[in-house]
Amino acid sequence: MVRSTFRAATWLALSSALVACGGAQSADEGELPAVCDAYLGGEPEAPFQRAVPLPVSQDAPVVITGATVMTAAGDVYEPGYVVFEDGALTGVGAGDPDAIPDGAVVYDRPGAFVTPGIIDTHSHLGVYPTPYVPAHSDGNEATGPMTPQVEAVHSVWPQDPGFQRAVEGGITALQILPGSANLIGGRGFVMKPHDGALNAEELRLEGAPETLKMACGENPKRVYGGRGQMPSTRMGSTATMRQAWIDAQAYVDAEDEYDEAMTEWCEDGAPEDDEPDEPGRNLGNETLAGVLRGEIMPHIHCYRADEMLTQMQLADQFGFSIRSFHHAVESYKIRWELAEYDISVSTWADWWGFKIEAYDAIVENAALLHEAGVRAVIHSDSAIGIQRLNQEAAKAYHAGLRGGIELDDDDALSWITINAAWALGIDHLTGSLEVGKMADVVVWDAHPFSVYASPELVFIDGVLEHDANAPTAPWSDFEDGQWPLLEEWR
Amino acid sequence: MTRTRTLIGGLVLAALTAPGVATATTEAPLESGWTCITNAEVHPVTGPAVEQTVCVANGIVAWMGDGLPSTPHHVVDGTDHVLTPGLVEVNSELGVTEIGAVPDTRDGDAGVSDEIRAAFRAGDAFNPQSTLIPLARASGITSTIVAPRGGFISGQGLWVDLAASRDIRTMYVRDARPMIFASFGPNDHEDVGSSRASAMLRYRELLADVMAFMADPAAYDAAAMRELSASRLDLEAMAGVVTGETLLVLRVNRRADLRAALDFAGEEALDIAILGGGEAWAEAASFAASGVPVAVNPLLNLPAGFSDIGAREDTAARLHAAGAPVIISGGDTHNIRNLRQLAGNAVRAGMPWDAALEAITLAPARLAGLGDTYGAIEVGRVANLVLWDGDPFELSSAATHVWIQGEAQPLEHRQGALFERYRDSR
Repeated sequence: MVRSTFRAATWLALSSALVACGGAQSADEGELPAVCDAYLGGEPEAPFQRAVPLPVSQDAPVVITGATVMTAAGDVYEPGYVVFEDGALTGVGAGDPDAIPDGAVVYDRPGAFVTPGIIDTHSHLGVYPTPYVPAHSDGNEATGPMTPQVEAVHSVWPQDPGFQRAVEGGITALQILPGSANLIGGRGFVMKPHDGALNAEELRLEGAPETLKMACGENPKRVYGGRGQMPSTRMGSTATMRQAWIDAQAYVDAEDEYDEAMTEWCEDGAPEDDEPDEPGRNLGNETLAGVLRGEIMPHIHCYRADEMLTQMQLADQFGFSIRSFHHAVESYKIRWELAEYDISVSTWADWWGFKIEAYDAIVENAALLHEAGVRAVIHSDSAIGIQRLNQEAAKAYHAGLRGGIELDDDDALSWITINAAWALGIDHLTGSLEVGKMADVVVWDAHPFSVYASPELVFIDGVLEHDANAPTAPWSDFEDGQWPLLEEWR
Repeated sequence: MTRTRTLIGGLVLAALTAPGVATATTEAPLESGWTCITNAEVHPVTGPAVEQTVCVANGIVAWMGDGLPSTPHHVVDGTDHVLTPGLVEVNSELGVTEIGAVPDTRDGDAGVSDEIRAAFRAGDAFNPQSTLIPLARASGITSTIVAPRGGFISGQGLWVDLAASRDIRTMYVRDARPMIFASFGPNDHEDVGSSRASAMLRYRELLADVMAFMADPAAYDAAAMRELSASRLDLEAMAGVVTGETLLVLRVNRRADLRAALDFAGEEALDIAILGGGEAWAEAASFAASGVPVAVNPLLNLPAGFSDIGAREDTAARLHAAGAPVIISGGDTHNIRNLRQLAGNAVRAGMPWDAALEAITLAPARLAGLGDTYGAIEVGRVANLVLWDGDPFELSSAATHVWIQGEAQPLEHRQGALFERYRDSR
């Protein structure tokens, strides 16, 4: 639909939505209403406004030298340099930079390692924040199996202490997802974990496409089957999803018809008594329509190979692309099909056995996927795991090497950087150390695949958000004033 | 080897008691079937790392020294490898759970309404055929304490050696001391009452009843006694706690509760250990003074609840620095294999490497009363050994040989079979 964007409501947008959708009222005599601009070759109306992004700016240029630079773009420089300014990478290469920008802060770090910021495609920080009290449980709108209308961002508590811990582990971008109780759980939220936000929307990664969380398998059928509701079976889940796509397609058709009618009406001079009726707006269908139009990227929680193939059949039938399967512990069984469909896989290194659909997990999963040409991603799904994705990638990497799969450090690094960025549709913005990309950079005190390595410096958009040498006050108001701080023990 | 911290000579050694027999050359009176591991960097735990030959026979370490013994033997060349005692997880459901969400495979929780389950032994349901065991073994875990879950008094822990066997009787280590696992507050068990003080009340009542029972079991059996708050078997099991024969392992995290647990144990003269210990670093001096061991997970650094406000990743390091006995435990079952990664993270957070190794070998053995026979490499000790192709804490390393009770163990497991099945699929 031309007049409104698929980018649905934020708390600001909700209040302005009715105005923005106002249609063709109050056109002056003899002039076409403003709404016709979009139908006659002009610019569409501006998308709904969101909250103002958190103002973050890099104070001075930064130059890092002396360290091994692992770019996740195919090159490793031993040593190399990284330069960034105004939040963007301006120089990456071997040896030393030709020039040091005026006023630059120089970190000379022989023996250290520099990588792109770590990216997690699957986090519930903020929607299941610590402390884990029932009143903080905001990740599953488990009142019905289909909730495409909800958005994770509206549950994210920016005071979750887990965000700072994640940054201390090198995280510079992450996707917050609704849980997997629902077949369609709602929109994800791709963000930058800067310090200082009072509303999660301020942290949205500018330029990231919208995402949608879906789930198959045990969770939805357990949650709803347990209540005597559909779905209680996998066939029930698939039928429910198919019906949703059929309804969404009808929604798309109605909007397309309306757009055609509006074009015709505007071309006819917008006769006052003949304006086409606007189809009703439905937030849920708006999201699903975004998927069908290729504007919203589906991320599907799915463990078993057969169920992933079923989801791929649905995608074929309804004409959309799955961006990433999550957890996907059996994806090694269908890696060639996944490669053909260009679907990434976000998985763990070694979680298994907590339910029967996770019984066939193997540690070589990511390596086998990589070998087959699938973009493998190591995700966390954990407020603890997100702090050490480098270690998780290392386990999967070394399992692959021991299994005889050809891999190198850069391959494994891609699983927590550029491949994760691709899964989130932000690989043109971040995920590797390449000139022009966001200055999301981690300096490690040892090889990042060593269990002993910790981030010494973490830059997000060029801003130093973690410096292991200069501990700061906790970001979270929750942690401030608690006994460890009052007693100066932290 | 990619490791940086275990090279002999580059070690920062923890203060260790008695140098032990690591340098002695002692022959045990055994004849044949010896296996000798040569040229490995040996970490005996009871002493500094050495490069020595270690020979195994009849289930024990039979000989250690330079060169080779005169007894006939076969050699496993440990060049560029590291030999450690087998790793021990003190809190798992190994063998009593196959799949978390499949109740039919779960035997770790008595699952009855009775909150006092002191006599319950999850290990009675131990399944040697579980697919989890070969995976744990291949990852260098040679023993675990099968710890019951649920209830206020959850039940008894059972030390199991993870040898490939069809028979639990050869795996269950009877010399281990009795251990009862229990909660110490409402956090992990609501039915006791909504107040931590209710839990204390319940303990006092229970201990008083146990003592009444112990004073006159005949009267109890003749029903000539006031009603007691636990069943006969539970009272009998708890009697060991009262006498100090049985270790009471309490799940406690909050600082005030840790303090209360120490005071309670002191008042009642109980022998306790702490599982969890999220805020234990703040009471490190008390743990050092009392000698009460604390089993911690060094990855748990978030204020997960109001009992973990002070959770830190360097809790193990701080406890150790204060001289308190530390055990590292993930409490995991399916991923019990990550115990060594936890130890590596404890080192990353400041714990000396040797102390971290001790925290997953000898310290668990001491907890279970097996400190003289397990958890270290010395002549006469049970030969639970792992040969690693690098620093055992490093993510790049793997176990290449595992011996349990002196027997070389198969390292195959179901995940490996699945990998092979799909390795060349197309």
